[in-house]
Amino acid sequence: MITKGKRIVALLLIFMMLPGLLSGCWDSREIDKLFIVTGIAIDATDDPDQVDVTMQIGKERKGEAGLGEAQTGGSSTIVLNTVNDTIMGAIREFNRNSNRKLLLQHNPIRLFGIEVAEHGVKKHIDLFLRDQQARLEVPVAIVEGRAADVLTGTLDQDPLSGMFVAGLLEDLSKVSVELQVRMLDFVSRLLQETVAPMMPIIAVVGEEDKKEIKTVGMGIFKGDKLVGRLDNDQSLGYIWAMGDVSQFNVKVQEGIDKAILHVSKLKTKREVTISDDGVVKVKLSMEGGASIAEMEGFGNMTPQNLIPHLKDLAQEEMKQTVTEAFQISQGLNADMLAISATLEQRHPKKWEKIKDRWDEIYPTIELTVDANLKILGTGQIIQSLEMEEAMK
Amino acid sequence: MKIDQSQISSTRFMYTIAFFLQSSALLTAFLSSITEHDSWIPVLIGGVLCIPLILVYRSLMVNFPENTLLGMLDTVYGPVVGKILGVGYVWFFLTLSALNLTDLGDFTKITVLTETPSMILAIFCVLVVVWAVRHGVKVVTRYSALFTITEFFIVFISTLLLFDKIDLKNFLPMFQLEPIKYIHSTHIIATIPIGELVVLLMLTPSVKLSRKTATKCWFLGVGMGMITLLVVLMRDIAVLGNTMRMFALPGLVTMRLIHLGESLSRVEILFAVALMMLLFFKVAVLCYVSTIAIAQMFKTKKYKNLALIVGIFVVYYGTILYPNNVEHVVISQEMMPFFWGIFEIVIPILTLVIAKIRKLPKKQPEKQKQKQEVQHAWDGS
Repeated sequence: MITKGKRIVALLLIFMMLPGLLSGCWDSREIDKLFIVTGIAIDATDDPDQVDVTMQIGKERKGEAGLGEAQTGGSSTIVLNTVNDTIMGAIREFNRNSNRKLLLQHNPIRLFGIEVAEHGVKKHIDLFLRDQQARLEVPVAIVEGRAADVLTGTLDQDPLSGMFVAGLLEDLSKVSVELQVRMLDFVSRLLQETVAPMMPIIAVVGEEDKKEIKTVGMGIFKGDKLVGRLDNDQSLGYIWAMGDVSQFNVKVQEGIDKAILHVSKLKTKREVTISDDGVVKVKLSMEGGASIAEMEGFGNMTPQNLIPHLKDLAQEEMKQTVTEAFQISQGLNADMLAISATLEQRHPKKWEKIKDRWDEIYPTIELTVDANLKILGTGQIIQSLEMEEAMK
Repeated sequence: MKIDQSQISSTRFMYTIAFFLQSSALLTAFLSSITEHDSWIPVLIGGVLCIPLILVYRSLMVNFPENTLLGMLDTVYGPVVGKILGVGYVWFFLTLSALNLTDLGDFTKITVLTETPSMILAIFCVLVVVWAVRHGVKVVTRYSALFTITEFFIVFISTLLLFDKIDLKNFLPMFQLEPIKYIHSTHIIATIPIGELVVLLMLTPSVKLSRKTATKCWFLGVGMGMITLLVVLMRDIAVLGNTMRMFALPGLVTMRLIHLGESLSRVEILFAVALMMLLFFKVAVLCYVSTIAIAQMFKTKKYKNLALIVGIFVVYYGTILYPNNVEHVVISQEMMPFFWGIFEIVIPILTLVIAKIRKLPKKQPEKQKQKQEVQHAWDGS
């Protein structure tokens, strides 16, 4: 039995503890005390030991209750910019000069200016790997020119340009996962040493008051330094070679006749062989289904001849595009197709013998590309208007 | 000497074994930094190699059904050597409690309550643990089945949600590391999660097991726990690939990658809650075992009064064990497997062998047994 005295002491103790336990969370962070980061841009400065950090903050909208969509005046974003020797130093500076704390957890994009990418990004990504707030599934991209321009410019497409770029890359990832490079993917390739990390390149184009963001290709890294690039068409060669592409268009042209074929679900099989004397051969076999999306000309052909002809033209076009992209990477001596990783996984003993000579071997790799498309449909019509006219 | 009079069923004991192993899912980084993408292999080898060890634990429980581990040591080695070894085990239990409590505090601080000092988290955790310990083994292990199944469910769902991010090529190439690395990792698996099950020998008087039930409980419990560990490790390797070795908490990073449309993301909190839950129960069992062991050393049955003292000691002991996380990983990889091996492998095997040679425990003569039964019946009437 608990005595009356003990009961009173227990009650007193409980009352003393209540203010501490019920008065709120130690880690409470109210939204009016936070700056939600919607984009981070890292740029180079004249001093190689310094880094230019820009952060875009989405402003909360203040509206009257019951008025439907909140009405706001002025810009939808706040842009913070500073130069510091580390990114953490920059964040501390932002926090010091503000009554709000930066919240990185919802940051959807990390951008690197092209100059930073060329000098090497390794020293700028430690924080994004280490910090618990900074998530590894966040996509990364290179910006043609200064990365800050993406976050500071007023865009027609979306006032929150950071969110827009993230959405753009998210949409591209539905075409091929290779087009959206997450921080984790980039680091994974970086750790493989012989494999070249890739990163999409975007650019801000247009006049001062009508700026737009566009993807302009893929950057090829050697180690952590940007050494080359593929334009948008050449990037198709890269994603086709990597395989698992959901949908894309192939443009074929023969004289003045041209057609666009819509290809879906492209699968690429990779066969990498290595001889005892270290000669590496790669065979890529692409397979997919296609339908005619648009056609112009081909008036001299019958429907029976047209389908196999278009198929041959598209297959040839795909082979050429893949080969061209591969030759660019060979010229840069950057293994963007991760052939060395395939060798390591499938022929580990032989890989051990040649890995120190990989830079000599990569430019000599023989690539064979096979493409096999099945024409699944011609759309709502079978023949082009030119073909109809020719039949009369 | 039976200190806690409460009893638990064999099923509850089996789930206690399972969750004790599951709670080590947090510590996969110990392996991944050594055997990288091949870390699942030592788990498999360790699981198989530890079958004899599990049989030793089972045999000790079956042969000494009325004794805790400390009681077994007293019986086998005599009061002096038994007590010396007993002191060693008390230190071992307290250190394990402190280590796991610190892990729990650090993990909660990293994942959920980033601003809260880990000391506050540890104190609140220990207050609940002390309350449970005071109510005996029945309360300490009450939710073992629920939490084991919850962990199974979370691991299953997370693996399913990560299915599109699984790349089986991440397991390649296999068996290409130096053999010493596999041995090192297997040793860690044998001593850190599996060998720690030696603490459950302290529960022997609280659970009545026949030889058959004991075998079933130990093997099913260890099987469930090891399968969870294996699946967690394989999931993390398949998703993270070569980056896994970089992370202090690979499981957390993997769970962060779950992204199902716009609506279902940031579910790592599930993993965090599951691990906190499991670690809390591991700390509860360890504190209970430490309290019972100390009570037995001092030959007192009033263990309830000791629970709070043990709790407070464990909180402070945890703060001085290692200065930072790096030291913790290094000590856990390089020193602990050897130290712990003495308590988890060498002494139990030696105890069983000596007990067999000395034909211990000595069976009571039939006449004396009958006399005792009559006496009990007489007392009962």
